[in-house]
Amino acid sequence: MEKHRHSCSELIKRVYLCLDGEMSPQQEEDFLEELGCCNSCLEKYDIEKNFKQYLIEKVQRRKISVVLVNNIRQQIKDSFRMSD
Amino acid sequence: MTDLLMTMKNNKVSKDYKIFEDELFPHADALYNFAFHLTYNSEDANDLVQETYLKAFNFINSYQTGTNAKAWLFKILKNAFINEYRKKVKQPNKVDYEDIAAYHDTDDDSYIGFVDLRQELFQDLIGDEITTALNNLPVDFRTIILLCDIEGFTYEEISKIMDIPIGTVRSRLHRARNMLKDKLKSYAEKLGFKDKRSK
Repeated sequence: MEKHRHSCSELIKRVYLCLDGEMSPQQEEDFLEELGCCNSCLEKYDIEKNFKQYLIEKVQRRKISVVLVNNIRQQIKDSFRMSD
Repeated sequence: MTDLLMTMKNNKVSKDYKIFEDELFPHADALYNFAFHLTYNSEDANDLVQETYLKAFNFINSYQTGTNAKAWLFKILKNAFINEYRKKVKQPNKVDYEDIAAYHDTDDDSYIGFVDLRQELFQDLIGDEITTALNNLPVDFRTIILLCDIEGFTYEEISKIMDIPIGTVRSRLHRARNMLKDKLKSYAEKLGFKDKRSK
């Protein structure tokens, strides 16, 4: 019996479900197995995987200043005191 | 107030403050980063984070300790931003990007096309260029990429933070990524990088 009736368009729809961690372990295993049988889909998957990784690594992450956090902390403490 | 009542109240206050220290303040960097990418400037981002924590104080009784503090804070921040942002942009001749996003949203998953952005085309772009490209996306598209790719929220969490169905999360993410790739492609081409396949 044929295990997969492969459709590139159907598989491609699921690429980001896999990359975004939205699949169950079983779904992911089935997806990756099917992906391994089609070079064209595999290539598309790799492109999207690299793109997501690129975003994660390259988008600048800003950190809050310690002074601001301490100010906010103080404001919250004061607000609790006033609500006493 | 009797001593007993006073003690009970003090205990409640210190318990509530502990929630801030243990569960809410640890997300200050992530909140600031989100706020900065939404507003493009540090002063507005500072105000937004401050406002978020003050609102969290006001709503602390509705927060259940041990639940998803990060998603709760992000939702408060996103709402504060949208309210402030809308106040600023709801002027004649100004474009409301919320409406644009809603116009383009679709819950069906019939979309399959990815903008094909090969790694060789974008790998040499630096962080500044990708950040600029991201900041140039309409706010709802920018937001969804920040929540999913940068902060790693699940579709369900994003759906709650943005008040949209999960199908819309998927379709909006798909569009947002394609828009971002288009922008990166033109940046790369302006800088002289060429898609090797077109030679």
